[in-house]
Amino acid sequence: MTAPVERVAVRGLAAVVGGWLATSGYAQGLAVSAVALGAAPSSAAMVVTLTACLVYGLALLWAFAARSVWRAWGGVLAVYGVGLLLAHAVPVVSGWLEGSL
Amino acid sequence: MTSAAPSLTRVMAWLHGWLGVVAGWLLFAVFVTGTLAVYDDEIDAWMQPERPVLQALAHPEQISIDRIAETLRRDLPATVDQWIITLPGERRDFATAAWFTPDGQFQLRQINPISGDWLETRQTAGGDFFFRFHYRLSMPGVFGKALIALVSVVMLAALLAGIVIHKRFFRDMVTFRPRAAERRVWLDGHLLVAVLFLPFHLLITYSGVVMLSDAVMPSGVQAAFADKGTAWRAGWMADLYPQGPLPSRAALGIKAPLVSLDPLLAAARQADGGRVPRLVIIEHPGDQAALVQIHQSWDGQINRDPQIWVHDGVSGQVLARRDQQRGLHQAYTVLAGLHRMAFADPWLRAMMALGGLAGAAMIASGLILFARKSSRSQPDGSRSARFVARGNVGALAGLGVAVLAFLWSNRLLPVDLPARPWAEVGVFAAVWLLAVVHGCVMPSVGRAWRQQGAVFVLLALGLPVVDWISRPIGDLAVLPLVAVGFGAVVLAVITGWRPSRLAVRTVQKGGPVPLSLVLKRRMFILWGAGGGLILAGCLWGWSAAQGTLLWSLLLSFIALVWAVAVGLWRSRMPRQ
Repeated sequence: MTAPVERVAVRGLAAVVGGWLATSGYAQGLAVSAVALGAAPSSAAMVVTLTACLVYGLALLWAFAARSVWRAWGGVLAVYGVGLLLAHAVPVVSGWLEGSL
Repeated sequence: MTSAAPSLTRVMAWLHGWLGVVAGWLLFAVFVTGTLAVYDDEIDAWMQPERPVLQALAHPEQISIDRIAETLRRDLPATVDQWIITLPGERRDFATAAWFTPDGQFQLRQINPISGDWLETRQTAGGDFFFRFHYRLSMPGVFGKALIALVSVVMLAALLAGIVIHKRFFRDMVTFRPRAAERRVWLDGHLLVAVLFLPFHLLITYSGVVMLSDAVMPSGVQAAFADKGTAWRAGWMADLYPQGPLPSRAALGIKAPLVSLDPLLAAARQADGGRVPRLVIIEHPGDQAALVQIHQSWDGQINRDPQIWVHDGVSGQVLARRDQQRGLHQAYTVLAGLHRMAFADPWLRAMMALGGLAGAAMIASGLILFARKSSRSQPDGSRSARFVARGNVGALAGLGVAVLAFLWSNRLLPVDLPARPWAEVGVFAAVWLLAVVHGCVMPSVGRAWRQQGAVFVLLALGLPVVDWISRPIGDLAVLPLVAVGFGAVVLAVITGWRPSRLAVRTVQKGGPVPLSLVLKRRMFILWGAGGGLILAGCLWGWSAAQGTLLWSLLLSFIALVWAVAVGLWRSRMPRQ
């Protein structure tokens, strides 16, 4: 079967490695944000556990469905970056808000 | 830079095929061994034929942990500081005692829950091997789990891609054209089992990945319990229960007699409506700091979240009682319960096994379809198509042969062989490897399929004979009968599939059908129907299985006479 997309190997790497990174970023961002905003840690952990595999699956599809390799990698790295940003920023902002109130 | 983008449907169709190929062989093994694991206790019982029938749950008041504890106190080293005793449940009527040796080795032995004596049975990998294989390839550490989690995510993505590319869900659910071109038959079969069982496939794949996710993607949980550092897992477990963690103590080194356990067991049984508790854990037995945990039975519960009582091991006083988990965690345990189906009655477990077989059939038909489609689109035969076609033989047919060889090895290996469970697993691995090599080196792929199919049939039909010869007591068991059912179906396919289709086409074109084709067609129907009947009987239950076996033998005899008579009569008719 002829591939309908170009640079399959690079997209495959984006799917497996990039997908894992995106899932990891999503999991950290969601868990830390939820705890910082008052959720029980076990509830935050459970939401992450129940949804992380869906994010990985969607990242896998995205890596091949994106119009170009740049978009494929860009998408998964963006999710990773936003996740890490949330994981670091939300506790700081939340602490700052609590202090100021 | 980029040319016109291909449509999403086209990309998803291509991706669906390749995702299936990349993960398909392993997923097929996961589905087959997972289906076998639905009956792990029953397979265990068959693989230890010398184990007596105890029917302990029929007389729960006779079950005695004191007698079990006496045996453990007598036979285990004093350095063992934890006894884990599993009591009989709905599907197993014996108890087990487990402990860790001082060097950290896990040990487990079967024990009579009434007399407290050890059960002397052969060492075997048992049905538990299939369970461990299907979620971690029987490998220690995280590698096997990570690999299974990855292919499960791939399966989830392939299912989603498959949903995107299919537009005729309800038509595909009822479309099967056995007389169409061969590739169409495979496609119809693939779509039929995929669409008909789609909710099952989605549930089992999703729940499987979720159950493995904390092992391979712990970063979210670690982040939620970042303040606990490396003890994040313990922090998670403690936070799941509003009552906090269970009491725990260090040994004091002061000897003290263990409290009588049977009254505690009786009280727990009475509190749970007469059900026998399932698990008893005794920490620091014989020490002043001894603790006794009694876990409620989880038979019949989707959510495996038993109530736990913790008693002081010397005075017997209740120190703590743990109830329900936090609400959200129950979503997880229910999902895990639906995956395991340990709560289910025999009918529901049969449906689960049917779903597992449908999943295996979906993957196998997809792999075969991929090989045929690729070789058709490139007449000289693409490398990928040849590779997949050859790999399919060992990965699909070879796995069936390896499973049967594993069962044979249980009866043929000497009972006192050292490291016997590993020898059984070794036979499984060696036979599977041999089948893969055979599929790769044979000049003709079709011949490799037929040869491995023939070996499967021989092993399957021979299993009742081996069982009968090597079984010390009792009569024919269900497991060999299941093997006979599958063997008959495979025999039907390898002897009659192609000749049967050829005979139908010849009749459609108005030509005379040769006697050999007529006979092979009859044999196809005969073995296929007979095998199907036996398997249906096995799903129904043991007595029904015996009945259908007799009926299918009788029908086989009638059909054979009919096939020969009609064939002879037709061959004497003048050709037009």
